[in-house]
Amino acid sequence: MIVLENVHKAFGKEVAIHDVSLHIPEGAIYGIMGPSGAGKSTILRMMNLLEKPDSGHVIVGGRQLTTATTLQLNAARKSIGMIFQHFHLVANKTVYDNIAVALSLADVPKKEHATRVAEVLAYVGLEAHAKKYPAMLSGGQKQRVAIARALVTKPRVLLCDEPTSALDSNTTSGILQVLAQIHRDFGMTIVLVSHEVAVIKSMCTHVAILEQGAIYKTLDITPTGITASDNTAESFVRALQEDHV
Amino acid sequence: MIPDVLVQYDTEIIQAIGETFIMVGASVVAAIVVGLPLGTLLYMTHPQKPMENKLLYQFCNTLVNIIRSFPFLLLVVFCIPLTRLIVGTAIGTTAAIVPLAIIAIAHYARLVEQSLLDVPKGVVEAAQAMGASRWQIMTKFVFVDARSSLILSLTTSIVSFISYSTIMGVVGGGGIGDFAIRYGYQQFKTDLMMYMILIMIILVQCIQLAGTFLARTLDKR
Repeated sequence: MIVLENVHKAFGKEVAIHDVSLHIPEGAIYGIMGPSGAGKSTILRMMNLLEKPDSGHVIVGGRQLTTATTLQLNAARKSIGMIFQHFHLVANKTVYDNIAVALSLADVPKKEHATRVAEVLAYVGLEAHAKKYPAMLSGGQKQRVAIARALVTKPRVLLCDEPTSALDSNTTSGILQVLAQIHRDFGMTIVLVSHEVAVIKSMCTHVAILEQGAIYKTLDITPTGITASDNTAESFVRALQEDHV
Repeated sequence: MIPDVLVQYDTEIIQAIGETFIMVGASVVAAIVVGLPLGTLLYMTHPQKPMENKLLYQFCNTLVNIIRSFPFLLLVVFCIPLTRLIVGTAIGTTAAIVPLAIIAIAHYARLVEQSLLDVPKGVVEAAQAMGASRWQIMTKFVFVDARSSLILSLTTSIVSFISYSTIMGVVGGGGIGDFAIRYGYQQFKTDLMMYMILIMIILVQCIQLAGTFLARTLDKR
């Protein structure tokens, strides 16, 4: 589904990615982890060419992205959803407009926007928030909007760049549950970058561990599942007390 | 009720206000029609921006810097040949529009560039990740995010244009500032000069209040 062949990337004299090859099978939840500065996000951003490799090839869904023209690349990106650590929503657009803009970019007729946005908002549990602006939402809600925006065009791949790193543990489990649900319902290939071992362990079927811009090891694992959280003050108390036992 | 001195010069005052409106209005049009695209080009060709182009950026950047480096009075004089070429004369309100438009374009272009540079990099990245073209990145993301800042910048610019317009007396451009100097200062009618200053203060206050209100209304950050 996603193939990286001998990709190399340097920022000035600093080599960020050194001759990395990776094969991500269709329908997998693929984790990429490693210490800070290992090149996790750079690798992920190469999968939709937000970061263009200096050499090597990136192939997604059979499409060679590295040699694609700008038009071809933009077309390919419409079938690759992406969510970010800091959500990257447009602050002056409502939740509805933040999601509808993805439909508009994908040339979906405007008369379908309302239905599609309502569907995806219900899916992430934010149907009552369509008219709000991002500043009126919590971090977890913002990430759900970002997921809805990525999901609304029904992509085949979802790239997740540290999607829970800016969130507390309770909100993290909520977001991971949404991602797991998306995988179950749509069979989407999900690539998840995280520095949190627990996040990778709970979600992923395959993992690549990076160190200093190269692959240290790849593993096939069995996801442990996500521990549900009730996201209440009491749950924080319980978690703290458990740590002291 | 109305001071005698204002009644005495009512025709001239109305004409001066009209001239100021023409000069500032034309500057605003030039700023929006040319300055906004020029500022957008500066942003887009800026290093690490969607259309990065060092040569084009340096050319536009230097051009804007040169225009903004001129003391405005010297720019007016410097532009006289160009003004003659464009409007056929170097004297009068129409002629005054040429240097005002030039400074307005450079002034607003720089402010537009700065406003757009304040848009979080992540917003542009998200747009690119969704397959947006450069035009779509600008119209559907960057301008939307920067809209209140662009309005505040235009408000600041308009206030500067009013100030610039007061100098246009040197080429017979007229306007409130010129009237205040010729009738108020040079003819020792201090009260008349003060009333003209008051009119300009009210004008600037109204523009600033309207700009701030509009920017606040549109700002959802």
